[in-house]
Amino acid sequence: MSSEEEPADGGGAMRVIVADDSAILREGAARLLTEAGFEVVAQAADADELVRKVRAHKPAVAVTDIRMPPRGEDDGLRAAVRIRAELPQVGVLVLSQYVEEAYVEALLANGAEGIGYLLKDRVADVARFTDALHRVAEGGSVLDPEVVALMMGRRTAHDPLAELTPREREVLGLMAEGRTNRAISGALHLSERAVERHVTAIFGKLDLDATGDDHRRVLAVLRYLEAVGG
Amino acid sequence: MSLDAPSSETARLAPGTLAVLDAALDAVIAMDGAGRVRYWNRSAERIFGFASAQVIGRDMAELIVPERHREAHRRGVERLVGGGVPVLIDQRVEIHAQDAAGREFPVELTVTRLPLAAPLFLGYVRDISARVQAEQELRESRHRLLEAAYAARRRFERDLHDGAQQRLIGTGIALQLLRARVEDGSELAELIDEAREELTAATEELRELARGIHPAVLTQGGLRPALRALTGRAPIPVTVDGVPEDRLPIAVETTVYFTLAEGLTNVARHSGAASAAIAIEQSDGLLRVTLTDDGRGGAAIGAGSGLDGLRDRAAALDGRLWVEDADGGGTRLVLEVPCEQ
Repeated sequence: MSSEEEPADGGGAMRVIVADDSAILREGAARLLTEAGFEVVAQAADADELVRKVRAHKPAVAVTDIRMPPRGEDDGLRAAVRIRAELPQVGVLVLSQYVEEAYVEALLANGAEGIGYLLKDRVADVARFTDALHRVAEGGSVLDPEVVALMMGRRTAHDPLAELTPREREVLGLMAEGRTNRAISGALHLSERAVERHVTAIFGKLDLDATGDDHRRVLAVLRYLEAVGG
Repeated sequence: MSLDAPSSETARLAPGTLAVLDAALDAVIAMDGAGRVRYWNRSAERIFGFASAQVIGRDMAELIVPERHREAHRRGVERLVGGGVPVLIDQRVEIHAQDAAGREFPVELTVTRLPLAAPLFLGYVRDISARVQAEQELRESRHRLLEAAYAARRRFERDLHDGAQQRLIGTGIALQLLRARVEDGSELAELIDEAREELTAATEELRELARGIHPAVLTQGGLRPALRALTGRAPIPVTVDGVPEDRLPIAVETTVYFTLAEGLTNVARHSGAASAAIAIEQSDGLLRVTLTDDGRGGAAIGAGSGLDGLRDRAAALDGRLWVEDADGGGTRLVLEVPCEQ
């Protein structure tokens, strides 16, 4: 076993790899994560290096920028999809300077487990960033509120979301971001039971299957929003 | 040089007249009702490479009309002689001629009929190769300028993405690291939080600016995802139909995108429309893009407006951009650009 190969769950600090072609951001994010108690086992400056290092280190989560060398297009996104397909135990948190539905679709094409997609600026909000890392590491899904707002805000001639109450729309938005009922109750200052009632009402009105894990809820909501968005 | 004129009437043309015709910079050619050459001035000799003596009495079409146009030429002469409606007479037209070496070149032609009893036609022919070539070069350079402008925008967006935007986020991380070292509720903590809020706003503004300069998703994925993002941000429902499966030339994609972006902005601002529809069709080497709204109509492309500039971009692609009234009220913005499938 080479020195680069380490067990996936050594206990203790969560192990992450940070990939970005900007050294400032890479170092900054690594430092932020280290101070927040994570172990940054490697850094990568391009998509190929990321895949190579993820294979070697098998971290809990790989954090990657979308636009990176070698091609300078959506290489980071492609690497993320590849990592999820090849190493299901490694979560990916994709960072991007733009929210694009096309990126979300490519990322979630084969499921939403262990996948996060955030605007890059969120990195500077350490509570949100580390929360996202934990949720992705646990196999959950995290979507930037901008993604959800964009998809919910897409105007359609017949808007089924109009049937929802303002409160239900708030709950739906948080569900699509990947929040659990408990987290939603905290964010909206509601009891968990009240949240459950809202969730049931939402799934009923939108004719969605309410069963399943958190990431399945995210996927159901997104599929619905996509179908509506056309 | 003489006007070889078997009829006494053509002989009435005074020698002075012939001298004038010989001095003309344009080729001047006289043709009789049978299509035979009757006069051929010096410029005709120079332009077509036939001496006058070689051509007098010969069939003009065989000499200078490219083979593929000869039938039409002969029918035209017959029609004229038979008293039919003239097509070419007294008009300036641009057609192709050929010289003694068989080289084809563009000419401007005017034909007049001399007021004589026997049919005699005078043709004035100007070689416009240089002008046509200059126009072609102008078109090409205009196209290159547009491509260069688009390339500059793409580069600018990339520079923002790789430079200022990254640095702002890096600064945000630094402020976060700093904030973690400062006690909550202190004056310093408050100042840092204010700075972070300002930074977040600046980052958002810069992001919108960069997207407006050139959306990265257009370069990466083409019109389909770019139009999806565009219509997703529109304040009214917008349907999109017929986006080509294959990528188009980047200058065409970019012009289509910015035309629709500007069009949608206008629809949202001025039309009072409740919905709009984008349709793209591709046939016979022409890409036709329409944006139709159901608003109050009566829109026009104002001088100096955003669409005015886009009209120039369409023209640089040999295309056209205009606004028309849609059936049943509303406005339709139409962009047509040549585009091979």
